[in-house]
Amino acid sequence: MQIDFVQFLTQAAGLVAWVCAAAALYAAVEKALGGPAPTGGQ
Amino acid sequence: MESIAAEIAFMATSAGKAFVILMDPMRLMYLAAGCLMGLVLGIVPGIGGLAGTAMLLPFTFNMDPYTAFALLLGLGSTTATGDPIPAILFGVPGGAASAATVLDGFPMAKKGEAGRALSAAYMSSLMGGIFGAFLMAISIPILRPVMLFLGSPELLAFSVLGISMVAILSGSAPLRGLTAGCIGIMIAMIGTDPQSGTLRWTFNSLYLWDGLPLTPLLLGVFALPELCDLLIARTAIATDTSVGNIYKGQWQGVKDCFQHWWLIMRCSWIGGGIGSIPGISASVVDWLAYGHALKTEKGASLTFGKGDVRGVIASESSNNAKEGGALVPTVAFGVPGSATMAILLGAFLIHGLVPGPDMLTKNLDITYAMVWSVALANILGAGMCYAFSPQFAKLSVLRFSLILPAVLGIIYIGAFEATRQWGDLYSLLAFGVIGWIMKQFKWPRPPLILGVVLGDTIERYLFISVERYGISWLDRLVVAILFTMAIIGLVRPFLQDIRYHARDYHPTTDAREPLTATGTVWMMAVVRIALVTTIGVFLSDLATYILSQTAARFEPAIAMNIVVTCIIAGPLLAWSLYRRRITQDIVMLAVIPVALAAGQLLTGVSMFKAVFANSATAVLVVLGLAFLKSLLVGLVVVLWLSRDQGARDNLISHVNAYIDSLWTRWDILKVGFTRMVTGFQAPRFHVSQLFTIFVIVVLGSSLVMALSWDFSAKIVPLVVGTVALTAVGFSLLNDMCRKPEPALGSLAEQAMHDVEQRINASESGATENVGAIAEKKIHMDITSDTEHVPTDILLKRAARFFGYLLVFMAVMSVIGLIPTVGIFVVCFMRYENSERWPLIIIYASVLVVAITFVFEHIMHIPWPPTFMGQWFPALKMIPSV
Repeated sequence: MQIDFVQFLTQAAGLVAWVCAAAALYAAVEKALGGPAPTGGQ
Repeated sequence: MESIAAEIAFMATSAGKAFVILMDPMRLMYLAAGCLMGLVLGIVPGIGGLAGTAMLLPFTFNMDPYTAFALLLGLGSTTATGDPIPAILFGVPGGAASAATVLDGFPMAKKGEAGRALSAAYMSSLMGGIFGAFLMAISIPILRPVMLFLGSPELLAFSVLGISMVAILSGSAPLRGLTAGCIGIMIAMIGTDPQSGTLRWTFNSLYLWDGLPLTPLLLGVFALPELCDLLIARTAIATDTSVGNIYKGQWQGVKDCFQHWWLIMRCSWIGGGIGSIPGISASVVDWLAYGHALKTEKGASLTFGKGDVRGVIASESSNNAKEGGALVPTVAFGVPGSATMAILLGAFLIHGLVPGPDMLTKNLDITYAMVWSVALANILGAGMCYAFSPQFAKLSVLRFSLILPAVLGIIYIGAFEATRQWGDLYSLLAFGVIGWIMKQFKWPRPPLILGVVLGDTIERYLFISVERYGISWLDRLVVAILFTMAIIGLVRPFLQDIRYHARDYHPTTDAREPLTATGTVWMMAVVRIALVTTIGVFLSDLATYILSQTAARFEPAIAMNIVVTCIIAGPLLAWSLYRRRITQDIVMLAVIPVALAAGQLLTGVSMFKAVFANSATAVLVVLGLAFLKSLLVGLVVVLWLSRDQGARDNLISHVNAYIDSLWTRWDILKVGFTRMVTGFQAPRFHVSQLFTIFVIVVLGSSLVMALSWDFSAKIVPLVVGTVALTAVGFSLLNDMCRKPEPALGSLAEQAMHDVEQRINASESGATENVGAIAEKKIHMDITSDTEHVPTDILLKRAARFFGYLLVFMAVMSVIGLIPTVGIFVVCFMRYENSERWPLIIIYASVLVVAITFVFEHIMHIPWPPTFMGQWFPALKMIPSV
């Protein structure tokens, strides 16, 4: 098992940034549309 | 003697070798990982061991068989160990196999004995599981000599019997089960026909040339519907997280198990035995064991259902023993004992192993590695449960918005692993929809999978059999017996239905004048005694034949035959005469041997000589001869009996009763059949029939397409398709035109009903228990997890689920799987359940990083090609683009 940790860590950092970006975008859209969606049917 | 010693030495070597192989740290790690996953999946709501095994299967492609089976069996064996945690703590079973545990486990938890109940459940699971493994280990030496006589025709017959039993037994709708099984076989036929090269149902798609791969189909049929229902029902199985101190009373639970070791043995035996019968699903086993304990344990009717530790022990030991039992027919005959085993059979084929004789000779060490895996997994699983009960308990309150995204990502990766084409993902989606509809409309899904797994094998064995033996393979003894069993299995539900229709009909028997001492009565008496004797005589002839083949024979042959007959058939006849109180005369004991000897003297005449061969016809002839000889025996016995007035009266009344019972049975069949055929009405329509009609249309058009193929390519599809079409046609007719009646329940429902009745009977009269009984009924009903949702919401949510899947695939084709998982988790968690942002970001980040690490860096999975990757090759440094 050969794991290139430098590559992995770069990728991981990039992915976390990607997730944060997606979350920020979603939050912005949500705010523009007015509040979070109602929780369905709990 | 020497050969037996060699045999034992060979098996001990294989078992030892398997143990050493399994002790490799890497394999042990995989086994432990499998156990952990099994426990988690058993506890997490919505996903059972079945979906779990299907999800793991694609990731075993690159492993060696020992490791692969360690992982898969680790998971399969421990789902039933984790099950009791939610069952005992929250009163909701984690899976179908521990539904009966709730009855006593939950009341114990309420009394503050949760620790004792859990500990007893783990310990009995452990013991049951080891018993199952042991059962498998001792079946191997017993089956090995038998296996050597099995050729392709026998294996074909086993496969057919397996599919027919699964189809008939796996649900309450045998016709639909049969249809599903046949459709499965037809799906297996897709692709290039190995005999003639004909392209069967490939629709000009290159993807289908090699046949439809198993994993997307498995994941679609078993995993996606579960996830979809999770989104529809939207509830965790329990909401209350306060579990109290569950370490208290653990020692007592262990002691309980050792105190009731005999109960554990019996229930494990039930579990292992039932598990080895193909088609009886996991949900029956625990009820049968619980029912058995309820019937046989001292004072059970007073304490069971109110928190008796024996109830927990019974149900938990049986459901863990099931796995080992189910492995026996899977490994030995290629006929899976359960749906999980059908998936395991898929793993066999993927790893190039052929179930059947090879597994007990050439690959015996792999088989023993499975035994060790099951045993070790049960020990590891119980150990983990003892150590981490509180943590596991928290899993059962996980929200769907936390479970679904992670599982979905893994399902996509797994499906893509099959052939690494986009077609895998399309078939995943298509079978997901079909599987969900089947689940909603209560079509049994296991027969479908079994058909797919066994379809190719059946066709191959059929061609080999016909090639090698012509038509005479049908006459081979084992084949004939197995086919007869299959036919009986297929006819049985029909007969049951007839009897069910006549259930409130009580025939009057006094209309017939009892017969007096006439010729008819004497004739009937002779025939009746001959019928009883025939079995004995036949067995004696068989025994004589076997003896004459060995060194134990003595001359003259006829004398040996008579002696053997007196030993075998004599007691049988005497017992039936005395038991029915026809005679109490001690002299009878002398008359019987004389009669038998008279009968067997006929064997001296060459015409009556019993000649055994591996041919059903020959055996039928011997059976017929045995009956003729028995007629003579009957004549002698009746002559002797008619001397005495008392015996004569007894005999006449017995014959009368016999005629009456035959008459009644015939009457019931007649009335039931008439009612069944006439009990129709104008058709009523229901949405579920649309699916049935869809199936009919698909089957019909497939058959029409098949008509133009080569003879050798179309024979199996045509036969199977016709059977399916007939079955589904009758099913639709029943559905539409039968008068609404409470249907005959499935085996699980019957077993459940039995237990329910017994418990209720012991509680009747106490009005304060009505609430408790009602509550219990709710808990027993775990098959419907979405029935409380109104139809419009249900449809809307299902459409949303499959919409998510489509969008997921579309986005994935552009930016790659891992970035899509990130976006999906964010959108899904926020939109569906308004989770808090910190949780979402942490969850999504951990998930994508974990997927990258495991699948990209450890397993080196190649990702589906993406548009971004094609347009901007530089972006390929991002994983999965």
